[in-house]
Amino acid sequence: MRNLLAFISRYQFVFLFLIFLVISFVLIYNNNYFQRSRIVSTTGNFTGKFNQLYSNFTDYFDLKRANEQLSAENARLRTMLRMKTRAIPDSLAILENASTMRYISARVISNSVQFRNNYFMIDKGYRSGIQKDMGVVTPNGVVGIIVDVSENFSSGISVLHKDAKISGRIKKNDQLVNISWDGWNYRLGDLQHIPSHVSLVPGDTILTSGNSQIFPEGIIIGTVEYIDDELENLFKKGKIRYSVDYNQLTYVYVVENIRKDEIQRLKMSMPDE
Amino acid sequence: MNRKLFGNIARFILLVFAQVYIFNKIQITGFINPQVYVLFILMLPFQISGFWLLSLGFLTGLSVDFFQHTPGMHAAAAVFLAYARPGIIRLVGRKDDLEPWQYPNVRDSGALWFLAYTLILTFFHHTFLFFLEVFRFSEFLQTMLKILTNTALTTIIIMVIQFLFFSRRTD
Repeated sequence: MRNLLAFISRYQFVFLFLIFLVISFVLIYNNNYFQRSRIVSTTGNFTGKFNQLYSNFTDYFDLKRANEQLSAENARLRTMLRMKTRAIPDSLAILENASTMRYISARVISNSVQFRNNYFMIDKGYRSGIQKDMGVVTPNGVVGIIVDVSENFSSGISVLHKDAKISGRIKKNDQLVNISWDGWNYRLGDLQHIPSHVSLVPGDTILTSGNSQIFPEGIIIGTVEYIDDELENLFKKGKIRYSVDYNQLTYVYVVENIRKDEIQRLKMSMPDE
Repeated sequence: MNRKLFGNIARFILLVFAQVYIFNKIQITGFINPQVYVLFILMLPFQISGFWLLSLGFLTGLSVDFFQHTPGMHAAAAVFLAYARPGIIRLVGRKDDLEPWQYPNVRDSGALWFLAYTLILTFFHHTFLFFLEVFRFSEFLQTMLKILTNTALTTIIIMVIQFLFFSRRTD
């Protein structure tokens, strides 16, 4: 026993180091984005306040661009409104479509693009009706998914994250593709496992498929930058240029899918295999 | 002695905030991200006990983590840096005429000594951190490039801070 104690006290520096290292790894392990809620709900309100102060200050430099973006969107919505009233389609159909998605506007108060896994934080929390797993979009395209909600703030993983895989659809032929990010250039995403018979050329637009129930269907993700055609492969791959500049996020919309619970329940009741 | 303690606390707060609100906002090609907060651990006194060295390292890393939503990542890297520090001080060679309460800086230790000390420890810290961040070896070359550029940049920024604030004799 005394020998053991002597041994521990002799190497206490190493032991302490290992203890701290284990604590850190436990933190990392427990806090991949599925189970991070505890950390943000305890520290989120504190760090959120600072992030808000910081962005209150830096937002002044962005006002012009944010204004332009908002007025462009206003114009687009006005045109849509006029088209809607003129066409008078089946009024029931409109009601059904309009009621499945609800938008909550929010301001981005912290955001990054330079890490391998990027997160953002917005100034609305569960008080404003934001919940985990809601999608976040801008008029220009998709931004990310909410993973953590505190009272007045929430944080999410950006599209620029190794766990963010977005289900997309090629606009011209409705083929499904998956979009991920390789951590190198924040303007370009990866398109992988495209069956070689699918026609895809640079410039093609890729939209959200709506299959995940997180993003509404038909939101733009980006355009194809180039395609790598290897003849001996069954699949081709390529790069997509994101339509959103993630370095310039200011105002975003959080999307609530009202039917999501219903769809999830149906999926759960389906047999696995 | 109290002034030294106050200096360390001020350095802790300033460096963590500077890291989160200045150095994390530097985006040149998307992967430039200097980790200047390590300067706090580098400048702890020579005679600090192992317990405090590791605890403060852990605390520094954890503070940065909370702002970046990466719990544990910087904490692990900073503890590793704190663990490596005594060995590196022995390796680079310590001057014998230093008072026990003195801490590494360009004025007392000399610019070349401090540069070697910073460069080696920053490289250790960044290697640990960036491999932890990608958590796979498949992006090896890309991660190495990231480690090397950021080590160089962090070291340069730390040397600039040293020459601006710590090169004059204050007492």
